[in-house]
Amino acid sequence: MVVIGASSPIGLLAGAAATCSAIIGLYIGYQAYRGLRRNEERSMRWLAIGMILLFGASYSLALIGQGLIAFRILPIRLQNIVRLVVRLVQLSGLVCIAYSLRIATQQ
Amino acid sequence: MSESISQHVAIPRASLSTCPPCAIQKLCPIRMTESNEMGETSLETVIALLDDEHIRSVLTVTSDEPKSASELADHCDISPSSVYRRLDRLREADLIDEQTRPRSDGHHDTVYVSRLNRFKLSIDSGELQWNIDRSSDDVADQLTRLWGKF
Repeated sequence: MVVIGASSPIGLLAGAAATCSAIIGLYIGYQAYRGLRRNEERSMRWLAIGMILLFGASYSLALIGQGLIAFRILPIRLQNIVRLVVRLVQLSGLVCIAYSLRIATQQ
Repeated sequence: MSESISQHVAIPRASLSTCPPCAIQKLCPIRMTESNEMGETSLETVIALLDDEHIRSVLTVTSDEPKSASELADHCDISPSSVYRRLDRLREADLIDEQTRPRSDGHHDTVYVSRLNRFKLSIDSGELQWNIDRSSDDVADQLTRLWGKF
């Protein structure tokens, strides 16, 4: 497997760190979603969406994209497109979090 | 964070003079903006509790740090049984939490922590509104409170 360059110890470490980031990010997103349900705070909705996009969606997309390229299901020339999509998802996640922060400070 | 219970009582202007405070909730429509397990705490209950000087003292001192019943008795200068009576009333209104505190001899003390963060009452444009914000240990509530402070 060449997913996240997992063939070397450093690659394994990087993959493990990325997985931990995704788990912790999704945990915070889940708590934000619970905060939305419990307190009906609009800012929590955007925080939850932002965290899920930033950590869950971008991590899954990167993993799936690299996996598809590694197994030659997707041509290697699409690697940069996968990177771009991942970055765009991360950017939209950050925009959601920034918007959530703006709403929270206005309340 | 806080669970917030809001009550919104619409009082027609014309009936204000004939509608005694104690009857407001029986005669006028009440809309609960949030229902939870403590949705039944009435305004009369909250006001009656806050009318008690020692209850105010208990809520104030336990909002800073958890205190045992005997520490509260010392602080308020009343008997432990009086403290327990007040703690029971506060527990029924879900305005106090019980925790355990380990002692050096291996046993545990029961200590109490105030849950009352804010009690707000407003009367404006023929409407009486009130709500209670209760503190909570839940991570989701703490995150909501923390995020709101940024």
